[in-house]
Amino acid sequence: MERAFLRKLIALCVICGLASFALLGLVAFRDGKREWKDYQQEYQSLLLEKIDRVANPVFFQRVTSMKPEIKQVMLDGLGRVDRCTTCHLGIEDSLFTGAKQPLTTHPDPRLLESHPVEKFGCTICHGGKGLATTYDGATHQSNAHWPDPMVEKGFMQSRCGYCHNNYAAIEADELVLGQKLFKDLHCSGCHKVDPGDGVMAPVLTAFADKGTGSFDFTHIDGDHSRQNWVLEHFKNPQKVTPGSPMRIYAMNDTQLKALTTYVLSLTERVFTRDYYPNEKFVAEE
Amino acid sequence: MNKATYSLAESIKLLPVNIRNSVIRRGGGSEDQERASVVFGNLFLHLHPVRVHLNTLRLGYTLGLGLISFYLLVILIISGILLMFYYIPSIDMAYNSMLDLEFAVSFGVVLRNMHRWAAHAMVAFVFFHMCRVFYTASYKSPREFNWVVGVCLLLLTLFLSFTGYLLPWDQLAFWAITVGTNIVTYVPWIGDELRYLMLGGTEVGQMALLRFYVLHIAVLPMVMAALVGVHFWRIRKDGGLSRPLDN
Amino acid sequence: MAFENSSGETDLSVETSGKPVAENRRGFVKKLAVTALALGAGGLTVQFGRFMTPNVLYEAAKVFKVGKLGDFPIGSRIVIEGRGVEIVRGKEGIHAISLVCTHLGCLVNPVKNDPEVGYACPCHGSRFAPTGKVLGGAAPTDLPWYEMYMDHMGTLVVDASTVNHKRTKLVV
Repeated sequence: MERAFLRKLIALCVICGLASFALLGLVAFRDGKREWKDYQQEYQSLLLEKIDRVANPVFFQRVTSMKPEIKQVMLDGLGRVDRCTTCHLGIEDSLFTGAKQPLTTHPDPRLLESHPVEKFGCTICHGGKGLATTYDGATHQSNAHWPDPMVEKGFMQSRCGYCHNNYAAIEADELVLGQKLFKDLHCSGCHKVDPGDGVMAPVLTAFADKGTGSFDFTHIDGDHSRQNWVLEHFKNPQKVTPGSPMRIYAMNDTQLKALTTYVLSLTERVFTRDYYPNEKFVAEE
Repeated sequence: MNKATYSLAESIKLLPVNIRNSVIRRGGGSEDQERASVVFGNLFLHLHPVRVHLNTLRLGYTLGLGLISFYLLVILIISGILLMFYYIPSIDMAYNSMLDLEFAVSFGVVLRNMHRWAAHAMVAFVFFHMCRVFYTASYKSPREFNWVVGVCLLLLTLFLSFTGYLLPWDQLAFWAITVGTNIVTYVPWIGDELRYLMLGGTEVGQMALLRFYVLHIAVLPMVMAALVGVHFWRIRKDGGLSRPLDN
Repeated sequence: MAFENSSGETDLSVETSGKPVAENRRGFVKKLAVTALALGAGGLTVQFGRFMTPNVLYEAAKVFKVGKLGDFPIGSRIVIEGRGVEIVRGKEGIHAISLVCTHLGCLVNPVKNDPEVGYACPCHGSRFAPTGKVLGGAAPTDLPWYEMYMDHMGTLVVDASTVNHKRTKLVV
């Protein structure tokens, strides 16, 4: 009896040992597989097809010997680190305009010329979690629980307002319209933005700095994103925030979108001086 | 003159044997004594008992809960030390360094998750272990003192868990510690002073993070290691793991 | 074909019994265990090494863009601020030279209009030729050149992590 029991015990030990061994090996294997490695591989093979070996052999050699690595830009002036280019490798590469995400080029190349990735990164305009290296981790969804989730496509101009004052000069038509509507509808009578404005309603000076978690989505029909909350709030304030004395202001879709964009550009974040356009510090004539 | 003097050539030839005998000391005496001496003469091995009662090995008696708790502690210590190479205990960098572990460090995800799971599991298993000891009446003489040591270990486990919870510096961490330290104020007479000492201030901020960090990685683990040593020593000296009597 | 004999030991064969056969099995299991241990320990060391080597550094990137070819006219010597590198373009090609003095690390000053001295260090008086060759002073070695290339978009890129030992200029 004794010996059989001991044998069973030893067998159990050996089996558990081998199982742990196998599991640890699996851990090592799985850790080596990363989402971005696949994208980098794809980028490398696509790029090798597009470039000419004869015309630029040095560069061709470099691309052939590309190793998978995390790419990041450190932006001390903006207080952040962005790793988006680990997957979005073609963002500044005009050869990838037709490629599918994440390798495709940035839609408006003019914007990248004045805001190169090396100096500005990506999250300052797009939001999201710059430190992440996976699709879900980077909070690509606008309704993600993150203080600064990804900005929805139609509302990108709201981020121009983070640094720019002169909306007309940068052709930010939505901001121009939004600011005009804000003035014409006398929103600052209740909602404070500048000193001297009304204080009956929630202060909007730093409205854009509120994360998704600060909004109540109980009465929201659509997407639980900040942009959608603001839109639906304008369409029917009493439905979204019951008990609100704010009435419905009749606006068409363009106006609604413009006002939403403007309101979401109101921030109190500050960056270092070299990040601001000259217009901010030089008084207008 | 010692009969064990060799020429240079002989010394070199005998080097492996001499080194081995120096590292692994063997006593003399009977065969049993010699086998026992290998264990007694080794720092790591002498922690093991030379003999173990068969019933001690029966899983059904103790369920191995104490052993599992100890094993979880070992996992926590190893994963914790490795995590320390990347974690930064500053309120600006704590959350970011945790994100780095998750995205930019090889095995960062595995280690962090192992640490978290092992921590929660250890609290549970330590509790189950205590229940087992109680229900098998293994706290009775001569094991009363070991029970007390065990309770101290339980409190240490809970406090280690509490201090570690703050370190990611996310919403969960901040509010858990806010609530926990507010409960401390209900201690009679010295409640507020105690909270002030715990947090290194009046609010949960940088000083609190630093204090909790030092407690979590240095002070509490050292006390725990010492008490675990005492706990195991007492098991040995009190006659081994408690078990049903022989038939 | 295994079965238990009268003393309770399992025999591997009918003909032979006892120690020699059992020893083989024990030897095999021992070898298996030692191999597993070696693989495990080796694997652990390797993975520990992978854990300890950082995959990202919170330091400025060593490979950086410096501009388009048009930004560097022939005959120009332009310092890239914040990087300690000067881009020199001549008729034969373009190269990137480090401005970090090989003595103790001060940034050297480029000297213009002097055919002999290209760089002079303000700290301890080292002087270098326009090619980076050390002429005199405290510095022991020449100023290194860094690898440079043009990417497919026409942007010049300096790779400060790789020294251009052969001192070949980039011809574009």
